[in-house]
Amino acid sequence: MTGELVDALAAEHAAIFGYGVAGAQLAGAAQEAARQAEAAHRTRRDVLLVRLAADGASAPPAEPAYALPFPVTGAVAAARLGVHIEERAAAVWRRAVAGTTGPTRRLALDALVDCAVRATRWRKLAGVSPATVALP
Amino acid sequence: MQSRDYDQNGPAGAGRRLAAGGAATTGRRRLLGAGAGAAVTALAGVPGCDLLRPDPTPTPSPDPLEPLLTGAVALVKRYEAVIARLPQLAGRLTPLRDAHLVHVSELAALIGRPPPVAGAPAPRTPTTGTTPPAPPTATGPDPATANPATAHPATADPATAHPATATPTTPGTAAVPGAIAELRGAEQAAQRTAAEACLAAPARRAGLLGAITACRATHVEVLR
Repeated sequence: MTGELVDALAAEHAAIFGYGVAGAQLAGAAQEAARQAEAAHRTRRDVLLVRLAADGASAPPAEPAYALPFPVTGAVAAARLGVHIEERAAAVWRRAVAGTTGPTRRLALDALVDCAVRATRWRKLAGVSPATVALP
Repeated sequence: MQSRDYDQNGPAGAGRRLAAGGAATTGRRRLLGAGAGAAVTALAGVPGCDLLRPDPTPTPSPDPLEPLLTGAVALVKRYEAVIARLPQLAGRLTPLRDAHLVHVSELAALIGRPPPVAGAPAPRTPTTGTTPPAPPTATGPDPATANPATAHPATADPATAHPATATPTTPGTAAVPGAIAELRGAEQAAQRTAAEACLAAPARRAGLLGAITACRATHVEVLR
């Protein structure tokens, strides 16, 4: 169970970094959405840090920087980066759902749902159709 | 050989040897074997006594995912009914219907039975989320300023499109908001059901059920 949470923490670190990059390319409501998404990932990161500390597990720190999947040089690329961030995080949380039980699974399921919904919003913004996938 | 000896002499022979006091260990085994054989004979001979017969057809308990599968099929039919009634929504609703068909296939595979609805795709390996998204089209809103929470898909919805491009005489247009709201309510209820199933499921099923829960949440999002 701890391994899945450690992976989820690493994904949250990466998501926070990614939204820092994306937000710099956005403006207005889109930038605000990126800011809110980053805040949500920070909240989940903090929950994981507390949980791992309670379990006596070591929590990996954030890396100084993360490789981007593609150059992010404009608003469209920033929206696509938002999709990418959320899809990656959703995949990690989905594994956590399978690898946990009880309240921890609830935590993982809520995170998976949130990531999937944000990915859908970014797909809509990026003009990706359909905006949903069958198995996030 | 002892077995041949037993076969030749039968239980009566074993009993004689034990009574004579020779080869006590072998004699006890034979006696026990003889007693068991006699018990089988005796029980088989009692009318109406089926203690040693297996249950003819044990009724398997229904899989706990059956209600979720039934619900997924119902969602497929609900979408198909709306699309048939309001064909102008086909572009918007067909991907959602197709997602439910995927869920039907996956749930049926998990249960171990054929999909109970035609058109369900073959079960597939769950997506890992690492595939880069499709490149955005040029027809979407300006991502620099748009709000993702309210942005619309690139595929225009005739029901909400600009009057200059919409068909004013499209039948059932007035029914579109109600139909969308109905589907949204169904998706919300289905999301709760899937979440409950996910939280109660064994690990090997929880991942798929989590993905189905998340998918239904995204449907709620696009049905706003």
